Amino acid sequence: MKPPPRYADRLLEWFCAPHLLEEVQGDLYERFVRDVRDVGSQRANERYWVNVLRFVRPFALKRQPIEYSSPFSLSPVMLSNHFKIAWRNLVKNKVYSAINIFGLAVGLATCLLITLYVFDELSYDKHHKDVNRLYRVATETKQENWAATAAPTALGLKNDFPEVEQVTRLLKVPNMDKMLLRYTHNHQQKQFFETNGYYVDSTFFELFTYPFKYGNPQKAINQPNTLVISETLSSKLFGEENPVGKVINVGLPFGDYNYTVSGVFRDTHKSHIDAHFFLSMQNGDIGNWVNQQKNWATNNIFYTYIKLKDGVNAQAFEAKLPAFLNRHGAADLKALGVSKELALQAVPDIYLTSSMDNEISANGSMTYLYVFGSIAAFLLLIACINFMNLSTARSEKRAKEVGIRKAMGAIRASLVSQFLGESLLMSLLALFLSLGFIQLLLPVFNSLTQKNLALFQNPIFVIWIAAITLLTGLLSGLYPAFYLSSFRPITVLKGKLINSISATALRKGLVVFQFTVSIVLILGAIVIWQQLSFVQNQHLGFNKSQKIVVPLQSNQATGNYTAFKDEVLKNPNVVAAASGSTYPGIPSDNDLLFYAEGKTVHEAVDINFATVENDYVETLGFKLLYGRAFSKNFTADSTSIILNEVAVNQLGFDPKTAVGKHIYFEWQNVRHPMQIVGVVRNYNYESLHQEIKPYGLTTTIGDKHRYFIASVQTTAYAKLLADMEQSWKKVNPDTPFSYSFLDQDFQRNYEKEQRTSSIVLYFTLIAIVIACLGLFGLVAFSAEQRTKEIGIRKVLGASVPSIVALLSKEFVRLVVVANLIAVPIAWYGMNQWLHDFAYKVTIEWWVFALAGLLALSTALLTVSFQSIKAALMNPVKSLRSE
Amino acid sequence: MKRTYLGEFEEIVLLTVAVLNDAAYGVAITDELDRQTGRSVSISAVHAALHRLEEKGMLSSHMGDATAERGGRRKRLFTVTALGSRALHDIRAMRDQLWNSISPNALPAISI
Repeated sequence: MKPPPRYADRLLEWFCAPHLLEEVQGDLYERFVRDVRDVGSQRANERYWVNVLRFVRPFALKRQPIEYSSPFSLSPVMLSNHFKIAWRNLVKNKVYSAINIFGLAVGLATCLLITLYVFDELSYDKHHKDVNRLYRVATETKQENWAATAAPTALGLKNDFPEVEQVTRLLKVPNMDKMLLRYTHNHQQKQFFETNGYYVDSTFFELFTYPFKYGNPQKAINQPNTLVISETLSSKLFGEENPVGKVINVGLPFGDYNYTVSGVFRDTHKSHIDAHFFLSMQNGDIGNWVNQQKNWATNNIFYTYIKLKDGVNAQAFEAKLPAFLNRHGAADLKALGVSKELALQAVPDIYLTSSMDNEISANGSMTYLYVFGSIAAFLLLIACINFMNLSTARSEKRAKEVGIRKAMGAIRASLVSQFLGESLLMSLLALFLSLGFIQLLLPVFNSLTQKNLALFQNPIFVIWIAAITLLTGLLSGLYPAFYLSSFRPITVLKGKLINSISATALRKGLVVFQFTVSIVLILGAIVIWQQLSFVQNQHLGFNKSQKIVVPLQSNQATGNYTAFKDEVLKNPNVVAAASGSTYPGIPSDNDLLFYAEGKTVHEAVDINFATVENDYVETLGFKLLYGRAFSKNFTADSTSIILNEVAVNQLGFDPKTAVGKHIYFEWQNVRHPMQIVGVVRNYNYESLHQEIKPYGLTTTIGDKHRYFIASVQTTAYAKLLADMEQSWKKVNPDTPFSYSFLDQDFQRNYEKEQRTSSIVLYFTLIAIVIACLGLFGLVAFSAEQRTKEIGIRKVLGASVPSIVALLSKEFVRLVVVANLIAVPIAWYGMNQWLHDFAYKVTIEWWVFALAGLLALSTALLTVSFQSIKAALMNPVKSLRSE
Repeated sequence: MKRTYLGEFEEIVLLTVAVLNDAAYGVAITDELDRQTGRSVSISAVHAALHRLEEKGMLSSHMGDATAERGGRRKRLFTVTALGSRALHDIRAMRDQLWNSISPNALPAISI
């Protein structure tokens, strides 16, 4: 007889519970035989399939509990027993539990804080629609990478390439970092300087996604003289009102202009374009100038963004750019005597990976993310090691329990799961504690990182918390679980437990690892601190202290400049004052190509320059080596230039004889001569990240009334500033007074390092604390274990110091070994970090000695506390028991 | 009466087991149900009901003989337990009581 369909049978055998299979299959067979007889084998097969499938129902699927082989560890009784034992162990050994949980909690808290930070850094520019098709076009020359391009690039790209879907430009006007916003309502005027305002093309919001609170992003910036403001700015100016249609007066150094608000965007998403407001590029102030920009070589200050069409290969597209630039810009570039190339940068990568010159604002850094990430991981690891070390060291205490469990029939897997469960419980307790820590520390951390982080703003973060906690539990519990569960019941129940050599060696290795990490961090902190104080105290070639800078960022302020200056100079505490287009410490982006007499434009030197007033050199205290400074006694200074030594050398002159020589630059195909009237000693006009480059001071090219700089001599700054404000108010009643100190502005260039240094410092402290906690636990344990030995030694006449030495020796040796390992690692790492500076400290030997000594003394302090306690114990007490 | 929670289908299966007496197993019960009530039920439904009844303690079972047409597999033979019997009697008593309480002309006549 033909059997029923084989696969249906297999299926049944697979899903049906074993204890039901026989009767079910028998019944189905019986029915099949009848069906074959009644309706033929074809239909019988079909019916068999249907009948089999109908058995897919709970009663047939449910397995009968099989006696003897069920996993004990999962039964509720065993689970509650495990929980109870874990809890008792926790409570019984309060010190060790506290060390473990506190260490883990601190490790988890730092790890989670860093994760928050990293998540935030990674979130930049990820929210734009079709973000993978957005690119920024940057300029590359032989000397530098420049984040912006010349004005006509954007439109040229759109016209020439069908691959380009849309283009847009963003303009950040150099030396105009603030704009005065004024809003008048019911005769009340609100006005303040606002930074981060950028001019953008009408297509801007087609490329970049900004969620709008009011207004329509598609039409927001289409009309001339409109602006879009951030939610924060909107509430500052208008409160809760919908500001669309309202008029804001924007005060610029060359006039006041009215703009109509056409939209408000929410500042929920982060972008490398950290705008507070956007102004339309078509406007009454710089609109005309922008429209005149047809030159492909000069004024590379337009940030150009393109959106490629779907499916366009960016690399292939980038390969077409040299030909494109050659087609349009060859003549302009040749006239200027420069060569450059265009490059594409993917927008989502800009924030973390791009660090070109002239970025819109300071970007993040992937390297620092890696550094912070690995430090966080190491901290967590150190905390996990504490757990591993303490639980293996104290394994003797649990050995009897393991022995009895095994004798009662526990298999290894169930013991492993028990111990893993315990460590998971620990990490869970630590998690709750660490969430408390985080809540406490977030404000501090936020001010440290200048971010606005919150615990549960990102749903993925909750998954991270769970993952990290699980990882912590497993990481710290895995080795102890396997170690403890490997005990042989007979040996341990006899009471013989020899800490195996491999376990002891591993424990020592882990302690060495902990201290290696700590020492590397100490070294890092010292070197960073050294470099920062070096940078702060390095002589810059001029006197940066006692200089007050007042920005002249409105039409009124520039117009009434002379009156203000005269007013301020009346103050006896003001030594000298002058205005300039820029001052040392802030970006100085104006440059021209100059060439010396008898040379051609192709040998030109790129010289950055500031346009300054008479007395600028004296006010800032530059050292004039040869020639003279600008002075009102020389009326023909309009074509004079003062150069620094680097510029003079690169132009091919000898500084001694350079005064009186002529140099030239070309502007709109006209050759302009300049005469060198002075040579100043090199000074750092940028941060010490940069070498000193060719620099010049002129009186005419561009606008000199941007910043008013006063050199003062006083101790009563508050009084002086109040007086200055008084003078300002007298002359400029409609413009708010603002000021800064030059040395602080200079310092702002090192914010990133400052931040890193404080983060590393805190991490170092945390690492040392956790490592010492672990050490403390280990020493406490070894002292406890050797109570009798110490008692006997004391009875036989051992002194307290000798016993302290006995207990401390072993651990001190470990720290010394850690020192030896840490030194080369830290040396290499810190040299890498110092690479970013043009001016840097050398790492000296005493730094290593100091770090080692620090680590050693902290370790000794920790160890001695316990060992002295043990050594002072009365031997009568320790020997009495038993 | 609180103890006897029997679904209608369960009741019928329980009765059929009683009808078949010593030869009550899956296929036989299915066939008997078909024959007696005209219901065409699937074997799995009958198995599920039997399983449930056994869990409730109204049926007991033991493995019977193997036959060739079953591929040498044994049948599970079911018998009604005392509890099952009690349940059936309770249900019947309750129905009878209800029938007896109906006044003669309360129900509309069905046949002429």
